[in-house]
Amino acid sequence: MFAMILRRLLVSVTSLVLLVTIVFFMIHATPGGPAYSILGMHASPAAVAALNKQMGLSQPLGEQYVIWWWHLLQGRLGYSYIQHTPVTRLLRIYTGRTLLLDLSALGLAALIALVVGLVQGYLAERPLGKVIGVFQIVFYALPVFFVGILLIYILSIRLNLFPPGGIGHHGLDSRLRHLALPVFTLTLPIAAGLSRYFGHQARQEYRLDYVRTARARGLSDLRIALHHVLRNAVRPFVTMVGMMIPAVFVGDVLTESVFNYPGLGWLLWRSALDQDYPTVSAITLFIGVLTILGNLLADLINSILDVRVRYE
Amino acid sequence: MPASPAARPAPTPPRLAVEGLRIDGRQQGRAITVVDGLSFELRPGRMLALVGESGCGKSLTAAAILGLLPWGFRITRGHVLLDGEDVLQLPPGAWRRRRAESMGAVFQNPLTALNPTLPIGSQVVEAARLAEQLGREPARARAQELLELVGVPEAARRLDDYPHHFSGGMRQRVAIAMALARNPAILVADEPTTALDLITQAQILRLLNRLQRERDLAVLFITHDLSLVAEYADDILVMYAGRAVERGEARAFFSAPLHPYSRALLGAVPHPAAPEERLTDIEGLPPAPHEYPPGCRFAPRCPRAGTVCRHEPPPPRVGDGSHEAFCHHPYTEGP
Repeated sequence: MFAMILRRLLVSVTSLVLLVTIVFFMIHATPGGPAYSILGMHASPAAVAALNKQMGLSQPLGEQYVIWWWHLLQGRLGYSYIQHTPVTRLLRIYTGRTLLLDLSALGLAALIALVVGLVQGYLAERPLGKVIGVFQIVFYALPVFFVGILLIYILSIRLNLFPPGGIGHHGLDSRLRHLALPVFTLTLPIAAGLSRYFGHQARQEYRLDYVRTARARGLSDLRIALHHVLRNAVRPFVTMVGMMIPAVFVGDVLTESVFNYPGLGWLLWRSALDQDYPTVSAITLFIGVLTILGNLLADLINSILDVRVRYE
Repeated sequence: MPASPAARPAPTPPRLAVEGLRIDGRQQGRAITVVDGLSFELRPGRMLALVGESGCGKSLTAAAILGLLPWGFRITRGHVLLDGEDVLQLPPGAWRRRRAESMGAVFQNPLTALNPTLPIGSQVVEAARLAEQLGREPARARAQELLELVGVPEAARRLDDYPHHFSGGMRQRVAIAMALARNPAILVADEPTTALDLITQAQILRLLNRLQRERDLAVLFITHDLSLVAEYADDILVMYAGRAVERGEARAFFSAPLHPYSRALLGAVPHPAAPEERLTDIEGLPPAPHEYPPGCRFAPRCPRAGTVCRHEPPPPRVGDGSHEAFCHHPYTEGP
């Protein structure tokens, strides 16, 4: 058990280092630079060079890379060129909003997936089960920005039910109303993907003999679904939910930019446009850490759910 | 009322009577009839062996009387009488409850028949606990009692073990205990020993036979292996391609099987007393449900088939006692 955790940790740290390294060099490889974002597109080369020197961007890239790691080990994530703020402070402000949005969406999606998946597994080959399958593919394939814009057009502009963007500041009601459309938009594709996966899982469980013996004993369909099928199908599902975290963040970047929702995704999008290296690197690292923690958590939940002692 | 000394005691009424059962379904978009005109009775304390090759409809028959037909298959004709009541007329919920309290079922694969994530004690009594609202302690006591009944050693210690702690044979015992939890009058065993080794097979058969006698169970034993049930079955029903081809009391059946198919089934198993004797195997394969021939369905593979066999469905031919075959050219002498 201990060796397993150690091995997982080692793999995680290695992948984090790789991730950050790739992002660091990729973002520096793109033309332009933060100096142009600060001084404007028509800044004189001399002014750009001076600013770059001041920000430490004139040093060789390898040296910058080493310095970045040196600072990171000291707990310094750098200073945003554009926002004129330490990146740690930015993370403090933006992370909570993103976690609220992403975790609501992931939790809601997981719940929907469990219900839809069990129904789908139960219906199996029946027409209704196939209809559910078609909807899953459609909702999974619909791009977040398309759904987002459609919802804004219908529910905000036409029907005036929800605010089209922002986060709201005045009380819980306003905050929830601002959260509704982004959460729904982000939930849709995740729920579609997860429920398709779980529906498949549940269907395979429903084919197994223990379900037939449960039926033969006269247990009700609800009892069989919740007490037997769910119990067996939920463990791979937990792993799957953990593995969805990066996909959720990809959707989050799009959702936050469509709804102008100031979270990490929105910040990443803005910072990438402005080539704000420290901010982009820090968010990437942070999301990487969150993903790994999420997967570890999924494994932990699974080891608690696993009643079987490994014997083979 | 004075009984005349010659009057035989009235036969015990059947627990379950199936009359003219027909099951229709769909396969690759084609409508098919998988079981047609099947009738049999299950009586207390007796074992009926339903015998046939795979695909002959025997498992679907079991599924039909257990209410477990897969989606797309329906009973389209006939009656299933449970203690004289036609259960097919009942609303689904009532039928499910009726079934649960009067029938138990054991299936082929003991490795998958138990839920791997629940301790066996709670699984064995789950249905009884829900139906009778048993408390925790009485439920445990009942589980222990049932496991002892089917011969699980040290039952008290094993209640909290999970299925993977048990061997295949032990799991089948647990499955039998589970089937008996609500003290049913009928036990349906669908190839319960096929997945087990020979010694375990014999043990499970002996166990079923003991339970049948002790509890006066009406047992439907489904198998493809006639020799397996020769020792224990009271009645035999041989099916071929969705229809009964021969049925009768086991003793009469084994002393002189009438139908060529029954003889072929018996001949396809080596006899330990005469191992050098050549096995008579049956040429070809049983037909699929969408290509059942007119006339006798066994005719294309039958060594005795004549012209009439290919055109006219065979009538019942009575042998001695309550033993009959559906055949134009049955055997008349012993094997």
